[in-house]
Amino acid sequence: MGIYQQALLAHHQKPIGFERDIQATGKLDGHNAACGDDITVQIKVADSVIIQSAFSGESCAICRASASIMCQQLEQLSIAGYHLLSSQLMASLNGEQDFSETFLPLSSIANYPIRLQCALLPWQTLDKLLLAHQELN
Amino acid sequence: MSLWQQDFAVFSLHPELKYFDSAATCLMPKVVADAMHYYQCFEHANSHKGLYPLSANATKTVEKSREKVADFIGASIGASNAQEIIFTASTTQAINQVAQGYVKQQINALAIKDRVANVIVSEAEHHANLLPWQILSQETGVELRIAPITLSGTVDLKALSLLLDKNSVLVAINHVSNVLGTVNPIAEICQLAHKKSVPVLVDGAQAVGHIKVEVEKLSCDFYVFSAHKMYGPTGIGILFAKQVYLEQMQPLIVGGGIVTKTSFTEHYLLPAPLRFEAGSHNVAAIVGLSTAIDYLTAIPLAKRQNYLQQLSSYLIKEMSHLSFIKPLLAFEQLTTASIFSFVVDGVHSHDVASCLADDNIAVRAGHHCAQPLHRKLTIATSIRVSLGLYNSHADIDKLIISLRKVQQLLTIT
Ligand SMILES: Cc1ncc(COP(=O)(O)O)c(C=O)c1O
Repeated sequence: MGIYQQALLAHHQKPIGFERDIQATGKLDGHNAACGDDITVQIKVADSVIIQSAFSGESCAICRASASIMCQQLEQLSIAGYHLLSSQLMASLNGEQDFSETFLPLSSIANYPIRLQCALLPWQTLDKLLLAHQELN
Repeated sequence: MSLWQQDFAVFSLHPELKYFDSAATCLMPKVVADAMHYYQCFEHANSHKGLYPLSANATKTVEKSREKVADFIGASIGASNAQEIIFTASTTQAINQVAQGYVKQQINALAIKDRVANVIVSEAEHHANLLPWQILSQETGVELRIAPITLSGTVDLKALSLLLDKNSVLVAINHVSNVLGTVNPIAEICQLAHKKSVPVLVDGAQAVGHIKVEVEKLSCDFYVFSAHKMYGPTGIGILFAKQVYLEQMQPLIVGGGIVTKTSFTEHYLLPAPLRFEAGSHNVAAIVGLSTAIDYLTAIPLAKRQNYLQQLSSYLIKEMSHLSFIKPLLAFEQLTTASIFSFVVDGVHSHDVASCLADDNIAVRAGHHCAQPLHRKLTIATSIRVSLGLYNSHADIDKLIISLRKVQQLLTIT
């Protein structure tokens, strides 16, 4: 099975949250040295709930699709809910559990360990952003 | 069909493989692997030490290989100049040896006279020929000067001559660029540098085994390369240095096998080359290198070069028909180099490489250990196709078909 499945390519072609204009309360750049991916993640948080999210930057299709799925899921999600979701993705990519419907487009990446980092970058960037956000508030 | 593909056993296991990453490492002919295996099974011993025949034979193997290398790169005729050939682990290690063992002294000698030395490299160096100088710069304050490249991808000689002055202690430059595939005019560079009494180190990692290399004719002072980029194994590289420099250079790595006499407080080093080869020799790898030279010299150089030039002309012609391919050097500047780097318009290099991998095509994607060069060209990464003796026109046809597919699949519509 190739890495570029239709479902992944659909997110790559029409990414959700890409260059979306939002009233961000936080913003962070993420970089993947191995791939040269650059991504900026923005969120609007109020009362520990992610109201809006967006991403931008030059990245590979895998990073872009993963960021798109992330933005798709974030709307009105509590920060605790985000962490749960993110840990589910990690567990699936590490082969510890099956991919849920949400993450199915990323399932092929589990077979390409060298590209895992591309899929993880948006999530790791948001992790850091939320950490900084929490420290601030 | 390549005349030589059958010499590479990997294709019997992976007949579908289209290998376009020879600039990273060449595939290994079976005869090379067999020679190493034979050595490991039947001849393995520690060279230069034992008094029994097995060890004496290993010593002879190493020293014969040294002479073979010397002849292969035009360092000498006969045994005596083989003393200018040092076995290292790699190109990388050889450059570090020259930086720390020779150039550092020169910098310090100038510093005593209150002069700030400079080392000159080009914009198109592999990190292996950049980081050792950056470290020296951090350690000693030596000025690192960067010679620009021209639109044709070779070093700008005029600019280089302006950078050279009485405080220059070394020009360190690639013979063939691992990204652009261009061949620097080494003889002219040496002439320029020597006029100012500055020695020249040539990083020949992408040159030896692919183009004619005659270090004596080029008149370079140091020449370094790795066996694995000329169909030999990893773990062995060569540092050629002129005798005068060998006499001044200190070994970077010290230990067994390099002294005439040692007490608890002092030691007396053997002369070159052994003083630079501390520890046990990697004899199996040396056997591999020696057999790779035999393999290559059995095919006339002109025949190998013609074949690869034909292939690369074909590659470049076919690529130039694809409007979405953006070469790092303009197509009209590309000659017949067997290294070709490009980007696919609108598609990330890693996506291109991953997609090609699904079609059994091996290319390199990234900055190819030449990040500053990519920055200068205002791109983050590129895709590199590099050719070897096993490649054929059919491989290139497959590559072109797959590239079209990749572009259709991944370009954002
Ligand atoms: C031009 C150039 N210099 C140096 C090196 C480093 O060679 P090695 O990894 O064998 O030390 C390479 C290998 O990629 C190269 O292409």
